[in-house]
Amino acid sequence: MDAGELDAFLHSPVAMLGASVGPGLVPEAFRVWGARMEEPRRLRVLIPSDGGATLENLRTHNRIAVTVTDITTFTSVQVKGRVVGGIDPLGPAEIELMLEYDQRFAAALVQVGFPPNWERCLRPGALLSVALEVEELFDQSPGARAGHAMPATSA
Amino acid sequence: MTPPGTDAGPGATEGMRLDLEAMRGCFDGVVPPVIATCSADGTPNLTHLSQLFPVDAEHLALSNQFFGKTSANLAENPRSSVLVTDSITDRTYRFELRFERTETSGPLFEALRASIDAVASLTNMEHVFALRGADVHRVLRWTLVSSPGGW
Repeated sequence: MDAGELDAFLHSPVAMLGASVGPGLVPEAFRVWGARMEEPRRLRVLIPSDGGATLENLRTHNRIAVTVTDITTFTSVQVKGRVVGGIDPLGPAEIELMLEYDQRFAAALVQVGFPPNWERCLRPGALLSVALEVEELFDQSPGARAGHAMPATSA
Repeated sequence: MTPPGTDAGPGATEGMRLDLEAMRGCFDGVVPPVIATCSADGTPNLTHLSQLFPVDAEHLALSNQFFGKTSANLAENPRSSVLVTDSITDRTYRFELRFERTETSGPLFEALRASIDAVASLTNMEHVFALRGADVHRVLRWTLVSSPGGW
């Protein structure tokens, strides 16, 4: 999967989740509310800023995983990497990314049988933006190939 | 500890013991949970689950189906974080867990397998949802992450 293919997948009917790591190697799962490829190996993701340990985790231990799953087909890809740069407030481009994800995810949820507007139950209260350097990609789709590494050099 | 039925805001409601009645929509598999684990070298990993299964007020069983990396991480580091949305109340919870054991037979395994089979049949995934084990975790803490509403 190259960067263009990954970016196209990010803009399909997907759910996005992330994991960070805190002191004592304690992981924390969180929702991601929008992502895009910025450069061939750089992924921009929008993360919750309210509650949890993830912001502090990412400041002190920059490893991050993001799983992207097409909720209509269960096709799933996991991206692993390291946060680069700061944790930033959303600019106009990130607000557009957030709204576009929100709209697409809402439509996908309806497509798989959830009631209209149900995405509101999952939305984080507020978001911040981080960039990560993509180091590894994994096929996370259910089945025999789940967990297999995908060629990351082209991501 | 504040019981999960209160109106406290996200992050303000937390506890150590599960309220199995108030949280029962977390355990029906309608909204697939996700588990985060971490390897000994500090690399996080995420995997979707078919279902969480309540064992008692202090333990949850997780369906182990495609858990290669998750199982490897739990063998090195038993801590995990599970995010799940209650299909009845629409509240999202984060469970902080410590892995204790895997059961591959017995009443808990059979009960989880029956439940997994029911969820799989709804999604036409019976052929890939074979249960390998019921991973039993102790609940260290749960937190209310979000309630219906949002922006």
